Amino acid sequence: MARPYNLSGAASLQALDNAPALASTRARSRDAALRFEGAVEEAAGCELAVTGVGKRFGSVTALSDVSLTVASGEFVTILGPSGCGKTTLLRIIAGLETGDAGRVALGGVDITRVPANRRPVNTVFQNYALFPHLDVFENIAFGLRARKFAAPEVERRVHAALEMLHLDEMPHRRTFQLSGGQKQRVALARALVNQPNVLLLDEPMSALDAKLRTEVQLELRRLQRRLSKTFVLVTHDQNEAMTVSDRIFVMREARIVQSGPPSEVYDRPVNRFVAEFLGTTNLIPAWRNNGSVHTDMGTFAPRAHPSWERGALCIRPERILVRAAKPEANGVRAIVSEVIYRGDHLDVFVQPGSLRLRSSPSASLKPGQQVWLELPSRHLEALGE
Amino acid sequence: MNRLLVWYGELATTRKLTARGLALLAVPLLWIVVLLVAPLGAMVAWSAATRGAAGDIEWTFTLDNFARLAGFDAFGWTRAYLAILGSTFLVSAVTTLACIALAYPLAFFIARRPPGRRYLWLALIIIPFCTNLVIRTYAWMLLLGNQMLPARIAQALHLIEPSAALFPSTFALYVGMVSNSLPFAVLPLYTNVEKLDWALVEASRDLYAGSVRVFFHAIFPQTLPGLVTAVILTFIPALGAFVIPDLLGGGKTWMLGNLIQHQFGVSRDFPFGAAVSLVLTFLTMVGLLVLRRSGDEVTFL
Repeated sequence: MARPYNLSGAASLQALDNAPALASTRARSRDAALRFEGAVEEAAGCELAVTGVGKRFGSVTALSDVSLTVASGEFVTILGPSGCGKTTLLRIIAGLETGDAGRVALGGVDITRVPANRRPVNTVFQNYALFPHLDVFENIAFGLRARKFAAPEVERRVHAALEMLHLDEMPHRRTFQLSGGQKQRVALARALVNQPNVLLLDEPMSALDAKLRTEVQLELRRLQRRLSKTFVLVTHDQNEAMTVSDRIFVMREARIVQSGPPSEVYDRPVNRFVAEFLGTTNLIPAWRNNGSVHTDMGTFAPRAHPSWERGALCIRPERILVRAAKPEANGVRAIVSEVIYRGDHLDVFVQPGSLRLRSSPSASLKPGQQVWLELPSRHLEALGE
Repeated sequence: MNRLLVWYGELATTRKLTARGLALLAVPLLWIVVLLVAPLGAMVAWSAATRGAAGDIEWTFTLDNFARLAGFDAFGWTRAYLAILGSTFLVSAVTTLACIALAYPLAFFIARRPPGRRYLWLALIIIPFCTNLVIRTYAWMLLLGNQMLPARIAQALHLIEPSAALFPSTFALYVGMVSNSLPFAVLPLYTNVEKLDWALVEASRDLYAGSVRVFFHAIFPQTLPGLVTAVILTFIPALGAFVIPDLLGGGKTWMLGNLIQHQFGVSRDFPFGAAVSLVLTFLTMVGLLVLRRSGDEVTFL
């Protein structure tokens, strides 16, 4: 049945790029496809730039002054809860939607007004949108045929794509005969066979079960590294974003609130929303008085001094340290209220403040036990709204 | 064989159940016999008879009526009847094509209105059909008259003689035929267009498809069931049309419907009329069978 989603096999990008086929065949198809390929090569090594894009649907603002740049060969993720406008942004990049304001540029060329069918950008749709009246081969060949590639060239490229995504056993299957994972690979092959400058992925894992999803995420990452293409993934799954991306753009209510590498977004969230959306965190209500930061649990020194009067301190559970004696700074005397064994770690809840912390499974912590906690300054973030 | 068995929680015998089943079948069977088998039987019987001198029926078994339709008569061979058959198919096919061409944009237009407004638009399309066909046809005669705007425009463009009307003419014939069949093309297409999966349209746009390719790969396969229904509902009634060709076509273009009407009316040649009717029915059945086969493939997709 479903073969492992392993792309590091014999088939490679070379098969897509360099012609083992006859030179004359290639020359002919070249002529036919020159118009398009010219545009692709011109824009090769290009960056995607979205500037000040806005979009409203009636009274709903889907995007408000959104700007982002994606370097060539970068894998970025647009992460946000549903309804934050991330899919609209992707659709504007694909050309399926037109923004009310702003520009989209690819390799310095303004493509804001270029229709979807003339953009060197391809999309993997959320439910794959495979053509039910065509088989796997013809689905993948769709974009090439639309651009009038010569038949032998179509054959060669589609076979290379089939091989690359381990679909070579099923070129003549109908789409309804495919499993979820296979459909996803067909959708991926259908987009990649066109050698787009930017590949857009609209929540491509949402229809897969959890176990397959992790596997596919890793393979997607490997595939992107090998093709060194620009990938833009939209997701609401923070794990997925952390697994695959070079950079994450966190969106909330039509705006990008933070961008950066996964570690930066996770360790240095700019606000409560980002802190809570990515992983679990402790938020401690705090206020500023006479130059120091106070909470119900005492006075703390965060990494950077806050500018707000009232706000919150934020620390990840795994950053809280359990101490035998009172630490020099940022110490809390606490009582363990609950310990949950998770196999590779312990989830520990303590009072006061309902803090949650993570410790090694060998730690001997029992409910009711009194402990000293240290909230290290360098991991204690002061957050505004 | 009479056996005891439990039927939906009731203790019964096979004989009792058979009797009950036959009783239930009696009504639809009667309905079919009275309304379908008997008239059709009469037609078959008539078609093999001969017209008497006074327009009465002489019960002599003959296939002359069918031979006559094929063009063979006492004076040799004539293409007159086959020409009528040909023009019937031509008019029906052109009408169907025109209806489909108009129905697609109309269906998309209605499907893209806000949900509450859609029924208003559908009603506007259906309401004229509460009026009798003859009255609607006379309305077209008024509208296409020589003093009305369409005729005035055609006169100004020198498409027709000064002060001439737009009817009777082939153009008027098609106006009548298309306006009569349009709702039957719009409604089935609309039901398909309304639940169209736009993701496929977007996927084909994303994969460099132009408008034609988008239509044939994303819209056509999805609306094929509605399209087949639309073709059936426009083409087959068009085959039997006679009021519109008579009034708007001015009797210049004869269709099988006119021929049949003439035999049962003016000519009082029931046997020949019955033969023509049978041929028309047969051709309709063949057409339905072909369309049904393509319809099956649609569901298979």
